[in-house]
Amino acid sequence: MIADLHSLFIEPFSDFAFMQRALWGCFVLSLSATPIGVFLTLRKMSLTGDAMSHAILPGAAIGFLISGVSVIAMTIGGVIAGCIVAILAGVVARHSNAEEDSSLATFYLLSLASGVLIISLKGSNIDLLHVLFGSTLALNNEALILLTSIATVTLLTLSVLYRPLVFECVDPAFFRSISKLSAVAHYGFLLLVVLNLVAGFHALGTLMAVGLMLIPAAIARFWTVKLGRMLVIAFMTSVVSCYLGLFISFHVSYATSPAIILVMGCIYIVSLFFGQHSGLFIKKCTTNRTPNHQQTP
Amino acid sequence: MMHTTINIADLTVYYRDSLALDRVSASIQKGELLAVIGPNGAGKSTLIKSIMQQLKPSCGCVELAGVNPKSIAYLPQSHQIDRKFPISVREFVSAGAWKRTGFWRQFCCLEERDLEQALEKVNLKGFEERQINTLSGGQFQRVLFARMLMQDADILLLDEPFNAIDAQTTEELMEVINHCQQAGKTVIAVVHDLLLVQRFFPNTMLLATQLIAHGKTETVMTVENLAKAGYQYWNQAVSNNQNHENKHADVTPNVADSLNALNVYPIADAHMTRMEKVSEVSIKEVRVRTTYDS
Repeated sequence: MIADLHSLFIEPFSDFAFMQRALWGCFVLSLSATPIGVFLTLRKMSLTGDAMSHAILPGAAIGFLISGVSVIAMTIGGVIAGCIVAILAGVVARHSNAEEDSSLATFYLLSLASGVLIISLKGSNIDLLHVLFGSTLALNNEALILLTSIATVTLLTLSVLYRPLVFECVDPAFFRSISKLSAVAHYGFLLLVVLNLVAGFHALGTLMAVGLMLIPAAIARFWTVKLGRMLVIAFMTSVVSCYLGLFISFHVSYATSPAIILVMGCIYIVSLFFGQHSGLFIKKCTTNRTPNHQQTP
Repeated sequence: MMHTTINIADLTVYYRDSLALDRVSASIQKGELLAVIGPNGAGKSTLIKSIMQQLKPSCGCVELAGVNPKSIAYLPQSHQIDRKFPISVREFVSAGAWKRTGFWRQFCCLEERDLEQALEKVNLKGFEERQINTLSGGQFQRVLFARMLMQDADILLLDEPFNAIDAQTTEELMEVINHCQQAGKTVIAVVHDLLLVQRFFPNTMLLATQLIAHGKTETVMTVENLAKAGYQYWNQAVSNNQNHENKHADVTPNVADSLNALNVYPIADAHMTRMEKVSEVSIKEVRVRTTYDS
């Protein structure tokens, strides 16, 4: 029995190097992308994150066009394209009358279209699938080193920017009055978003990368009202989902990144119904209780 | 002996093509308790932001005499704040100590004590661990005041601190402001409630893009000045009143009704005698207030 469980759950990872690499890649990605995702959702910038994740596609595609499937070229291209769109989106939001969400949606459709077009110029359909859905099971050393260094940079930067970022999220007007770091916090954060999306792009592909950021954050919101716990829960959800996703895709040979995202989706739906905070079931109970609850100043 | 602490000279601010402030000049004394009034879009918040040096004036300037720009505490309009953010009262108020803690220094016992005292002053003792999204509007306003107290600044700028706040909370928070002023701080508050201004603020600045009047409250809040600022209903009220021979008999119950409906004054003796003495001006102000609030 134990041996069965061992061969079911552990062996795929102990016997196959590509599974180990995939697990490590997902682990470091969870470490850095989920805190970014928590802040994104708290700043109500989920759609921005989504748009930016697609925006890196044309950049990565140009990198691909120049030097084939090369981690470095695609990363550089992705980061540049992501930063351009981040800045453009900010400029459009500030200086035009168009609604921010519609301009973001326009941006990401344009980038997706041009990215797919560029790749189909040179690459095959396989290449396109790799770019869109990632190659979790084919992470090479270069990619792993990249993921790990991005995670390190992200965690270090976040630990320095944590306080300014929190204040900037809660009360930007006040934070501007006490500190000149407001812009630093904002743009530093956006840069981290781009970096993590590029990292996610290598592991999960451009369509799924943002899922690893946003879904664990959305799940965490159902289970706690404290920021610290939210970060921990998001990370743990992400790691568990990655493990289960890899596990399922190994045994049933499903595509890996959709499997991971779907596991997250299942956890999300469970949380939606049973989450302690604003879960559908729990909400009903508490709203029944509130009228008796007297608040004193 | 009075010192000028804020000198505003010819301040003109444009937001792209629209003029927000037009050649405003004024000097504000140290230790002054000043209300800034004016209709919506009169440039009140713009003035506040200019004093904080957050906006680049198109023309003119704001000079702070003997005050570090960092020693300005700001209380923003509460609708600008994300009240759903998962943060506790303690963490929120601790933002006020930014000047001392910066972005990573720890809170030492000195700050802890300040925080405790600030919460005590606004009657929120024991709320430290509450999340801000569980607070009522009045409680949240108290939290904002506590954060402002934490800043321990020389100049306090308050942007609509009493909007949508009940009478009891307003009274208590006004007391907090008075304490600050008595401690020698300069307090500038944007206020919409003209009765409140008349009652608590010795000095008033009336804005309507241009500076209409600035000085003692009773000299600023006159029929002519308020009309000039665009308080139109007030004009109507005046002409109606002038058509009545027996205006006080007609008007007093009206005022009392309005005041009761608005829940502005707790009905106490002192206030009753005040109400009996209500002049034409106050009546008009009541009208103004009701129309602007609704």
